[in-house]
Amino acid sequence: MHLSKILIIARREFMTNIRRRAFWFTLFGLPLILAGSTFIGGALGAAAANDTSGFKAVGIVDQAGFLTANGKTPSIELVKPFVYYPTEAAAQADFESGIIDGYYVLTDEFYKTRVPKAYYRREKLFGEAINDRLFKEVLRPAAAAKLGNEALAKRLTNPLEELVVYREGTDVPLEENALLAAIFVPVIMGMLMFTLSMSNSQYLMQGLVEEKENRMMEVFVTSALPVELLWGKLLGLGALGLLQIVVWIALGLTGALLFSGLNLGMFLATYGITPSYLLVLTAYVILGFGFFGAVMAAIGAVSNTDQESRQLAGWLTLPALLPVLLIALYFVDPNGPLPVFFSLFPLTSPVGMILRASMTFVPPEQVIASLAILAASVVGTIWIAAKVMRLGMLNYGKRPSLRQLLRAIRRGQTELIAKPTLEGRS
Amino acid sequence: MPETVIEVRGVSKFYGDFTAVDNVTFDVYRGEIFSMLGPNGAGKTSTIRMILDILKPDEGSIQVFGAPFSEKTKERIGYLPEERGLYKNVPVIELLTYLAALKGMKPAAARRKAEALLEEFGMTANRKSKVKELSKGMSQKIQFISTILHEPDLIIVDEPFSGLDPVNTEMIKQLIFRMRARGTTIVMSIHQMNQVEEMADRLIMINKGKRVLYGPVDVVRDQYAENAVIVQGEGHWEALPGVTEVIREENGRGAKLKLAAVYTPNQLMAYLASDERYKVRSYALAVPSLNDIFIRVAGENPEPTPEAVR
Repeated sequence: MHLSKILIIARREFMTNIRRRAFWFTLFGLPLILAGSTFIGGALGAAAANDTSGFKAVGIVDQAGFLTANGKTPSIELVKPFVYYPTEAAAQADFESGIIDGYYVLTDEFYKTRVPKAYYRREKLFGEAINDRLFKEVLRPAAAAKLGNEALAKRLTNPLEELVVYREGTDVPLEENALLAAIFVPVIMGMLMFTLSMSNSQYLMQGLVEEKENRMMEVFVTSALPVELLWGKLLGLGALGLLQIVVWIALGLTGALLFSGLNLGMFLATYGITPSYLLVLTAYVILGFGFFGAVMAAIGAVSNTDQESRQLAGWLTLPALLPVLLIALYFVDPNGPLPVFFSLFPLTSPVGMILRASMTFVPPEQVIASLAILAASVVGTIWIAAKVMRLGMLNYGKRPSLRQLLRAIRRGQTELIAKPTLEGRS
Repeated sequence: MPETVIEVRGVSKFYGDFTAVDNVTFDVYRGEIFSMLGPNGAGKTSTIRMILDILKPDEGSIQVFGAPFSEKTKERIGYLPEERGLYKNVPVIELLTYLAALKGMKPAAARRKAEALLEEFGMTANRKSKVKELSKGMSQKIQFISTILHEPDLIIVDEPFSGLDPVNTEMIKQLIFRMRARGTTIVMSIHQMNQVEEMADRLIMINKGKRVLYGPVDVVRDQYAENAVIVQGEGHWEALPGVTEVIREENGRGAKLKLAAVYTPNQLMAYLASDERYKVRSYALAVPSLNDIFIRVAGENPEPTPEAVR
């Protein structure tokens, strides 16, 4: 095996694929789409959640005697747009004449249900924004006034607000954002891992199939060993993958800096992203790519057309996605038997371990074992891929049988089976 | 004794029940143009692939440059496969440099040599074109350049002239002659018999996996030569002593005279010179063309041929 040849092939692979439009789309398009949808979705959501300027007046009828200690006037001063109505009939009349946009009724049941009845027009729904204001600006102060105990009033109106949440294995309370992060960070990281290990390894497969389709392979094998070709491609595309990660991390950090108002450390801590987590992530990105790259190379070696190889690859990418598909299991118990298995088994471990590590503390010995299994699988798969490559590369138009593949792996590079096909000459 | 570059001994290759190559033995000498002939499916490409270590022989042995095939051997060989192909989206100069670098050439030297060869082939203007933008003939030339760019000691070319027009055929032919003059060994698998007659020093013909002809082109042709002469002139050819049959050529200008086994062309020539009734404008031995031999041999069952000498 010649390092110089591996490097020549790696360089070409890098240069060829960096020119692909798909690469640039993945590099910048994907984060842009992600950031764009988050931003637009967030902005729209935030605007809708806080904006009550569309309501000119909203009536409140208190049949329960919650606001009105003396039964006549409210115990607190109502802020706009809220307006007090002594009876439902009066509110109904103003509603019909268009003076108010709608009204809430605190019925006799209110003490039991804590849910006011609401009447509004179809074109001007009482959404979360106005409901929220009712609770925060009317009901909670009223309760406090009634009880003479603001803390108790708070708990009464929103019992979960005082809940303190801790990350498993730590005693630092989490912010509200961190709760959301606990759900989204694992999913996003899992998908990121999947995209990273799959997209570039698919280039490897496509490249090999292309070389078979355009008959370059026969020239190649008289210039380099299959294992040199494979390592070269793996290194070249690996370098491309690293470039991708560096760009993404840079974009992510820039976004995080802007989003968090320059308090990056705090931001990362909130989202549970620690240096050791990033280290584990990087290790899995590299080894995950190496493993799937070798798997894709083996597929490319035995397939004759792009379509055929994609079909085969599709079947093998399914297990890689399995942890994300079964994410509910992780929320129930990230250290349960199946999540632990997924984080050790090489086909699922890149995504599986990142999911687990995003949710819980994974014992270091498990991370080490999982990485060791993955590394051994990379070497083993490349070895097998190199063997089947020589078998597959001359079988134009014909996929080798399982028996041929096994024989090729057993006998190694000393045995090649290239049965002539109708289109091929002797 | 000429230096042997390729030594093939008793090589066979089986694909299941099918025998693609059957106990074939031959040598290729340094600095010669060696031609491999045979009908489609005869076993030529399988033999070439075994020489190049793409396939392993099931029986027999092959040595290249006096040793079993090794990674180092690859750098000394240029190979133009019959199934042609190049990267479609890569600029010509980049592709050539890459392929030469894989053969162990320094990138800068590879680029210089590639530029020079492109100029020789009149393709300097296309140096930055992508392969997909080139005509079929042009990409054939690029492929040929990639075969010889790293200055190999041995080139193996499978149908080097297919798809080329007469001008480009001639250009590549002259290039091959120049390479031979410099001591490069050339193995050509080829269909056009006239090219073999014109270019090859020695040949092997394989039919149904077996070697059916082998040796210097002239010796092979002599083996198949009949005891006959071609004459042009005037006279009653049938009356000549020793002539058993007269076959007149279709254009009426000449005739092929078959001779009895005991009578030689020299004796006939002496007789013609002494008899005033015959006027001879040209007199030649009836040597069969390789095409005739090819058709004859390919149509027959292989038979043992005498070991030819160089």
